[in-house]
Amino acid sequence: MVEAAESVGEFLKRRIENFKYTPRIYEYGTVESCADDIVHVRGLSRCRYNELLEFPGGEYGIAMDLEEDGVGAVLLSKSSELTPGATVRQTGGAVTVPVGAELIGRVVDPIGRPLDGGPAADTDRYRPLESPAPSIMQRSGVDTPLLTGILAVDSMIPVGRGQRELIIGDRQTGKTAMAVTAILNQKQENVICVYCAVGQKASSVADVVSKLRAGGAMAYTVVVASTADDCAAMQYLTPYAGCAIGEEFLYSGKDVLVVYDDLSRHAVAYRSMSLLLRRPSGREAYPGDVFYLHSRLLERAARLSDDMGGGSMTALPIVETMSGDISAYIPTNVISITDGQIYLESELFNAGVRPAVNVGLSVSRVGRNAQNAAMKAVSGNLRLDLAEYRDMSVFARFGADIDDATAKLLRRGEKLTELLKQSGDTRYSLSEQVALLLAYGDDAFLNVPDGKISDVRSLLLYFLHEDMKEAMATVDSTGMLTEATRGLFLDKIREFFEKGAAESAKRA
Amino acid sequence: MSGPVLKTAEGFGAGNVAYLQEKFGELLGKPINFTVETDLSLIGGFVAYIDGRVYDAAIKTQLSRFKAGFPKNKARFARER
Repeated sequence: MVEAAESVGEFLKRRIENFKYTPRIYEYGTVESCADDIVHVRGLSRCRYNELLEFPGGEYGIAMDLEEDGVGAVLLSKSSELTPGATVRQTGGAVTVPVGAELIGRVVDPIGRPLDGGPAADTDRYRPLESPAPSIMQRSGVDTPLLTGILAVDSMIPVGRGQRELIIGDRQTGKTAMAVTAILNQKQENVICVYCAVGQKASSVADVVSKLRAGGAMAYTVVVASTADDCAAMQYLTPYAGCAIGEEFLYSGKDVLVVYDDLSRHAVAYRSMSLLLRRPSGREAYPGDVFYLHSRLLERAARLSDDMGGGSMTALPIVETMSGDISAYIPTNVISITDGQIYLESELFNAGVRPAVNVGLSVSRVGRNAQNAAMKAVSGNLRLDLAEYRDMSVFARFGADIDDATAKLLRRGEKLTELLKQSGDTRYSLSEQVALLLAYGDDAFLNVPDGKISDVRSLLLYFLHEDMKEAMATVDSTGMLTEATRGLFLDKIREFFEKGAAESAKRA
Repeated sequence: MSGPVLKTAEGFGAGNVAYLQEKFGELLGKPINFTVETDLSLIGGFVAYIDGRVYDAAIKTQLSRFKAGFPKNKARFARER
């Protein structure tokens, strides 16, 4: 204790000796009116756009409208006791958020205040919420996969590190579940994750945090949250705060995954602010710069060149559609910004196909550049198989006579559809996905009843983990599937199904 | 607020007010006539509001600057052994 006290004393002595008395000079303005979290301030002639303003009572706001004789600001707090005539001070800087490894495992609001009951993050590093995206020459190509652990995604809509892949669908189609699964799958992948909850219910955020905690993901995840009762300005800032937190790791050479859940609510919050600031409105009452709202956010996700540290920031923005309308304003905006989309359909979800991925409308523009060699070797025909199955199944429904080849095509499609189903708490490693797709490609599942595919899949993987431990570990670590390993896998898979068929015959 | 305002802690003194009026007048090139208000929270020094600009020489502000440099986590002191 004595040593600690001396340490405090030394610190204080040093601080007093080095302290310089410096009067401060700054601009001030006067509140003219305050309503709906929008404050009109007279004065502040030298205020800059997006500058942080300080109000009495420790409240803060952002200058969003610069006029000749005053400033329009949005408050960053839910309730305010501001009165006309109150003094407003410029802080001289933009909104910043604390960043650094000290935030990992924490739940914070967009300006870094803790929401998890813990102390403020002990960091002395801050980043502005808005910052320019990497330039063209600072980037390099996306060529490293980011595995989500979801077979349907990793095989047919592969996501690469540095890519922006949109998750889009109606409400309750599994968008957040897909993003959370992707975060949980980064446990051994050395990827820092940031989950941004924009305007979500507090119970939903708590649910996500508890899932992440139960899966051990909070050891590498930061949660930035603004709930539905937060003011529009805080909801507007949330994705930028998450991006800034991720950028601190990105520019340190690390790989980052940022989930924005969701950008539809973000656009609605920005629309509220813009309408209250009396800005001209456009289509669907959104302001004219709603595209820029999302493009400047998502452009900050990139794979950096080796000169810049080689880090990457992968963005998984989520957009909610109404009645499956992907041609609405915000969905089309974000689709045109991102490098692909994963489209989740309500009809598929209700029919029990989960994840409810509509493979036909989903795409990854980075494509197979973001796949390991092993996955490339086994996933080449999946999209085609599913497309042919979709087309042919229409005829089958009408009871038309079908030949043997078509019947086999339909059966393969049904088995593949069943194989791609995956529960929310299941994640497959690369080797497991490769093994399942090898089994599918070898028509191993063709004679398995649809309702049994899930059980057979689990048993097959268990069998392979027992007998092919080393080979599977090699595939996971190298991402390669040699001809010899492929042969070994196929032999084991055939052995498994032969044993299974023999046992079924005995029971029959 | 209309017109220059000078906020001071208790006991600032009329002589000091006159001195500040003279100095600010020289600085800004026009006569300054303060409306003086007492604000005990300043602890000492003064804050002058003139034409949309604040000249903050209050002790309270300097103490805030002093405090801002403190580490947030007290455990850091223990690690300095």
